[in-house]
Amino acid sequence: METKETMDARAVANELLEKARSAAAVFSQFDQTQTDAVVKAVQLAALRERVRLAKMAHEETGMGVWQDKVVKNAVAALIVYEAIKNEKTVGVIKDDPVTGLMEIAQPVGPVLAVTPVTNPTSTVIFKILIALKSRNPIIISPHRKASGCSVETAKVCYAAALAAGAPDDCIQWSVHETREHTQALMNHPDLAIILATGGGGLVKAAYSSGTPAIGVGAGNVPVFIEKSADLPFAVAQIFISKTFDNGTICASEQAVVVDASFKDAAIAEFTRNGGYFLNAAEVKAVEAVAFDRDKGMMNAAVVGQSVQRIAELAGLSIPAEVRMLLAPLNGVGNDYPLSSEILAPILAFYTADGFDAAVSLCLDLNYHGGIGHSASIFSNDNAAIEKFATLMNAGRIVVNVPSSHGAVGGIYNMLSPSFTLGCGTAGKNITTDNISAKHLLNIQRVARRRDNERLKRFDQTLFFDESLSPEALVTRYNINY
Amino acid sequence: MSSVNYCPESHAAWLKEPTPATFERLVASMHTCQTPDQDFLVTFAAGPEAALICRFRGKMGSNAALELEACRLVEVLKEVGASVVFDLKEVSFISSAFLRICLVTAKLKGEGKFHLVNPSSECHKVLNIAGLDKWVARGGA
Repeated sequence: METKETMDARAVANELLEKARSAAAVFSQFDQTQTDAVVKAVQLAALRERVRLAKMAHEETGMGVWQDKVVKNAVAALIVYEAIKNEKTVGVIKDDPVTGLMEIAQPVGPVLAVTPVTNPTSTVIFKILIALKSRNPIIISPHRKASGCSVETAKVCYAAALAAGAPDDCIQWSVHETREHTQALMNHPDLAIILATGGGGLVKAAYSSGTPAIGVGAGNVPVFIEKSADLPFAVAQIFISKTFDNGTICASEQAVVVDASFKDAAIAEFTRNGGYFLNAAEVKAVEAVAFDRDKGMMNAAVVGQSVQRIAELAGLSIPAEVRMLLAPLNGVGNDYPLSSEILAPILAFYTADGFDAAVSLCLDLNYHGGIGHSASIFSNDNAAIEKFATLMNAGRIVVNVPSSHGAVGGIYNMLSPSFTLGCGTAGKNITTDNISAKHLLNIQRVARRRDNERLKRFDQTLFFDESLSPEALVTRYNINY
Repeated sequence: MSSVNYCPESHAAWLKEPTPATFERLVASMHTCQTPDQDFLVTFAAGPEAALICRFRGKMGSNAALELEACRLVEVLKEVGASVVFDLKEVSFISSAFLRICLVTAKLKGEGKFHLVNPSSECHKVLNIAGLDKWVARGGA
């Protein structure tokens, strides 16, 4: 029997989706120029408000560093926009007279964007931009601890979109934070797709809803400093990444693996950059505050917190200049809580004897809650990079860059800039791509007649000749080709 | 600004004696509604079994929808006609506001008493996406 909560949630979802369908209908009449004008207006509005929204996010969530959240907002509005602004997303987007194939882009329909507490404004900006670029209405379902700043971001974007001629209700938001409301939205038959970024439970709920979903859950990114790497450079890059917004990006390094031959040099370099190596007792103390053993995952209390705050929680006394805690560990798995994903400036530290041992260790880390997501390597040996990349189960393997920024793309490499990183089938995704506007399109293919010349010349009566061997059949099919 | 208002006496006469003749007189008393630039126009005709036919022409954009709201179209539709038919034969664009008018009218009149007819193929697709397909009459009217 349905509860009152369930019925209320369904009524709210019905109202949101009815409006979204109308918006989708009107949007379907927009041409590329009208669409691009809307996207441009939203970009400018988001850029204009980037600082206010970042400060709001920081104040509301108590996570991260507001200046870094400004950068995230700017990346979402500027770099993502630049990457998609010239993409054709309306009508005929490709027409090849040789193959006779024409592609027509159609919007997928109403998008539900579940947004995280760790990047509550930048992810909203990003998802809105790619939804509007593909002429899809979007409903923002924010994390309950960040609903104020996420909704405010959606409002800023919506006002700009409307002023640029966008359909009414092209951007909506759900202010209802119960599980029933999220579930009712996810299950709604009129919803086309879910872009879910958040905790494992939420992402699983998205996949289980029956609605197509692209979900990004946990990562557990290993970074391997291979022996050919430029060690000081690698360590400095890891610091850029792991301290950015106090480690809230899911593509940030969670464990560093260094070749045992330069263990001492690596420790010295990390220390010189502001790293603090925890002793065994201190590792236990940090584990106790950073990891929730009952839930088997990181403790929300340390997510996006500064090193000083984490030390305080753990009862440690550390120098003021420390920027990152490093935990030397001997194993991977539940017996080593800091080998799991912790979105904070805490980095597990491993040494390995030689390339194969190091890659095996990275594989263990990769498979300990992070399959499909990202992996990182510092190396100047192309063969080593290729072998490492082939063995990792990761959608993106970033090379010689801070992995947070590298996986997002568009800053240190040519990956498509994105705040939603596809994790492939390992992460229950249909793609390992960095998600962008093109993933919110249904591509129709018009296939004009182009005869298969081999089949045309082939004597098809041979299909019925049982005396002909399969090899002979293949030969006859390919003859003179 | 034009108004859709009907003649109250004609309305009362139709309610008292609901015949085709009284209904035709009532509909004849209704004014057309159009935007000042005549980008959009709606006219009214009496159909069989007291069906009120609203013939729309032009771009059903935001201006048109505002005009319809100002004309109190939906309120009038509530009172006039056993059923309502929106003839979209000459409609070239449909806005959010017009979709809202369709949805409100559909809910107001109820199952079987609201029909969308003669949409162009482009408009038909828009109505389908908006979830109004069940109100679209098959094969025109």
